[in-house]
Amino acid sequence: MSGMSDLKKGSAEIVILSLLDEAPLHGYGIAKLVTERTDGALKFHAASLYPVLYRLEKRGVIRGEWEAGKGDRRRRHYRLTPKGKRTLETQRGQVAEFIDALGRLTGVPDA
Amino acid sequence: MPDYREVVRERLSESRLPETVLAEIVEEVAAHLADVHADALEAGASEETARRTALLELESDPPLHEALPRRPARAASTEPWKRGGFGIGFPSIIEHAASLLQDLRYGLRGLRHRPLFTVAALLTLALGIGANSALFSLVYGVLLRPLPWAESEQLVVIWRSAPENPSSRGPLTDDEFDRLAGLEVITGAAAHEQREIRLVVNDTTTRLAGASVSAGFGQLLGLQAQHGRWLADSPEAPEIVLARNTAAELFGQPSDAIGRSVVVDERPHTIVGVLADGDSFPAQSAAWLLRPALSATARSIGFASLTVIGRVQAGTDLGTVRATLDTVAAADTPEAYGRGTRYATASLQETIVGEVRPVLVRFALGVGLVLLIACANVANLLLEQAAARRGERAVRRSLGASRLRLVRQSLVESLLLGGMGAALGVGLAWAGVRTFVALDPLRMPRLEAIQIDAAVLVFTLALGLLTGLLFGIAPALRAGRESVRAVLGESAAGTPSAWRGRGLAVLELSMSMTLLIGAALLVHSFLRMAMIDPGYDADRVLTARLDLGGMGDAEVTNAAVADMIDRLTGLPGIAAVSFAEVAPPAAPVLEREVMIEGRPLGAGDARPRAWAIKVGAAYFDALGLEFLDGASFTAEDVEAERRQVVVNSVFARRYLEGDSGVGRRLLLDGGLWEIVGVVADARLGDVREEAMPTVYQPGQRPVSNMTVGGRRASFSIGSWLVIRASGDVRQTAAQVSEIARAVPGSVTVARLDLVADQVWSNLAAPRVLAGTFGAFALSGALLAAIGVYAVTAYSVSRRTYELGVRMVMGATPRGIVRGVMLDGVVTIAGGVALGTVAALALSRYIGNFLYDIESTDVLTYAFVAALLALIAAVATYVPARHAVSIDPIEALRRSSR
Repeated sequence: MSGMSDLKKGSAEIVILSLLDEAPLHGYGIAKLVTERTDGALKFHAASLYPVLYRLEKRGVIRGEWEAGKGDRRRRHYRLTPKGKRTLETQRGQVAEFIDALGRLTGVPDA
Repeated sequence: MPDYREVVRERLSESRLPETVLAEIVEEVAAHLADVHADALEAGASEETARRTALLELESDPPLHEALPRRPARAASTEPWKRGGFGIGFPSIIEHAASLLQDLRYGLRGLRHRPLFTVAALLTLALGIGANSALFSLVYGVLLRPLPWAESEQLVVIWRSAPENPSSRGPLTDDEFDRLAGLEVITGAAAHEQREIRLVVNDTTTRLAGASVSAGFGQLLGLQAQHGRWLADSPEAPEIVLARNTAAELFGQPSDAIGRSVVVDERPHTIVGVLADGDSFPAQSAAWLLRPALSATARSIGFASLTVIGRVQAGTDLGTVRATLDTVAAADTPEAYGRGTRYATASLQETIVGEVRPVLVRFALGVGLVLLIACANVANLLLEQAAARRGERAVRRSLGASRLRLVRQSLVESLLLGGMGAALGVGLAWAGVRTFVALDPLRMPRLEAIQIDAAVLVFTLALGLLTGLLFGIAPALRAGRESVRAVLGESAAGTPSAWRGRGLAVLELSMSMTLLIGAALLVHSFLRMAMIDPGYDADRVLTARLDLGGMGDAEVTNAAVADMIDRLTGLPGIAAVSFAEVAPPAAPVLEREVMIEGRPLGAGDARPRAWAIKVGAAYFDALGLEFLDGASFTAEDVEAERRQVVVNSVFARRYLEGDSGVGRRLLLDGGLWEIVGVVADARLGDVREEAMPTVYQPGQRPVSNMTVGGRRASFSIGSWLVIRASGDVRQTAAQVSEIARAVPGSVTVARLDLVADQVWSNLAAPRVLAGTFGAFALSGALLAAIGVYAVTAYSVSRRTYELGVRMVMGATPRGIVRGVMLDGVVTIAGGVALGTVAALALSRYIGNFLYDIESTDVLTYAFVAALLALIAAVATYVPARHAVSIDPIEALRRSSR
């Protein structure tokens, strides 16, 4: 069943949205921050990161813009759209609810 | 620093993205890899390690090109002219299809993981859909598909209708045909009479149902021969056209028949054409001859034998045609047919299929109900499944799947089930239709038009999807409404889903009750028909239809018939043998007018009408009819054709004011006849119809020579033998066949039947109707029982914890069962009550098909209600028993985990 892929995809989304809520970032910046913040417990490969970014962008939740970077390389910076901010709020609520539920079912407090 | 753009582009070579989009993605991902590479170098890695680390970023499952959305939005290009070049605001069909495909895959996987549910749902659906699409193919083929003949909607059939029976359809005379053909509203007309055609090929005689047709018949219907041509209007030598099947049977290849010579009516005929089987008219005709023009004298007798088909101008409605015909009838109907005779007309289509339409419509109602029950059942199964999978959905919801997505996923699963059910249903329908056509239990017209074709497939698929939507909508909406908290709720029976399940069960029960009542009424009615006492012993009476082998010389033929009767009379195993003009269960075609001596007719009184049948002296013995007064005429009376008659009881009661009438005289066929006996009534025609007033005339000469207008002509009446067996009927039948063959001359036995067999086959339509409805009703009841069982079992399983607590607190098993049963009783009572109301409303639609029983028969309703309640109670009791077999401690432990 696709429960696990949902989980990964779903968590990736909320992770990305949360990071972009703090500041606009380019793809590599996001990947780096995730690794740093979780001490390497979560890690995004480019191959899994960009599909999620494009999907989010397509849904109008984030917006990417090319900006000049070091040397001749351009980088695409992503930021949260107003819709993205709302989505993030909802998802945060749901995760809290879910974790609460999980906690009650599994007996792990704040699972 | 290596340039990663080529590597990335290679990885994406299989993606079908537009180049502009691809270039941006390549640039972005390559930059990412370059950053990884740079960071690795900075952390002290070698160039090679850095490169490998960077390339690792591209490894994933699924591969990158598959994971990418088909059309990423790129609204924020820094080059404004590139904006909007792809995917903005254009809902992409491909993308929808892709995600739908994903839903389908997910749905299929789900079905595979729940084999029990899937099999149950699919079987239910296949049955329901299959029955419906089989019926649709019948309805479509028989009722809806246009007739094969040219512009057939303009064709009407015209008959004579008797004043006392406006729906009767009598034949017309040649004069009438000429007159009708000359009417302005009719642009073309042709006539035909159905007859048996004895075809002699190489000394072998084949009897065929056929028609002799007027000139212009083929042209009117636009008949195109498959081989050869249609009959010429004025041929040089006699011609005949055969149906394809017949031609194939006789000559191997149908085309080989063309040009062959066959003997019909003792004259050689040339086969000029072979007609495709579907084109046959009248239906089931196998051969056509041109009807010779009648001589003036033959016309003057005014013998009516023709069915007239007319073509009306396009757009002319039947009302106009009727009005014209009424005017004609009022002006000049021959006096011989009585005052008030009118012409009746109906479209050709109506004429051919009119009788089966009401039966098919009832069938459609029946299978429709079965399908609805099936839908309710599957909906119930789905609701349970949905409840069981709430946890799974809650997780998906909390991780970002939208409500819409979940609703769609749920609907896709239902549609998938519906579609698969339809596929299986087509298979069932195909098998069912083939069986039905092969058995032809209703002797339906246009059977050849019935097939599983594109129209049926489209109907079935549409039905499957509609069904999927019907049973899927409730679970789907539910899936969309659920909150994540629902995952916690594991409470008992009072939840909305439990009530919905009960509601569906009530619906199922009520629909099944409606079907059962319909079936019970039809079965009851059929049993009454089967138990009708026709007044004679149908189990012992054999009838033999004689084939006179062409009329030939009347004396020789009549002597041969008498010889046959003599040889059979007195044989062991045969109690009585008699000649009869017509034998049961077939009624005489015409009623005749009789006058009774000493019973003056008041002005406006209807003339007494009766069947008149010529019979031999032993006829009453052969049928086993008792005399209420007087006695039969004797063999000598018959031989001398004395003017003596026997009348039946209903004749005496109606026209002679009592059962005694011996000695009185009546006027029939222009002569006075003396009544010598009054005999008990017998239902000589359809056993469902009361006995008609009948006059039995003595006679056993089927052929008579007459001189009409100076020319000798032969006429024959129907010729049958009625034989009463005293021993084993089948053995007697074999004996009769053997002796009949031994009689010299051209008279042979064309067919030999036990009357009981024929009565039985005449009851085929009500039998099939009752049987089919019975099958619908039983499958409906079975499905409903499964539904009730499932609802109860599910409710019990959800209440495991509650029931466990109750048992721990000291509830007795009996009390628990009672509690569960009580819920069931409410459902059953609701279903039976609703079903009774629905059945009362619908049962009048089968009122016409019922014999000797009211469509509101209280006993039938009570019986069905009790039966259904019993079935449902058993379906409730089984899971209720299961509830008490649960170990309470285990139940509590399981529920609290």
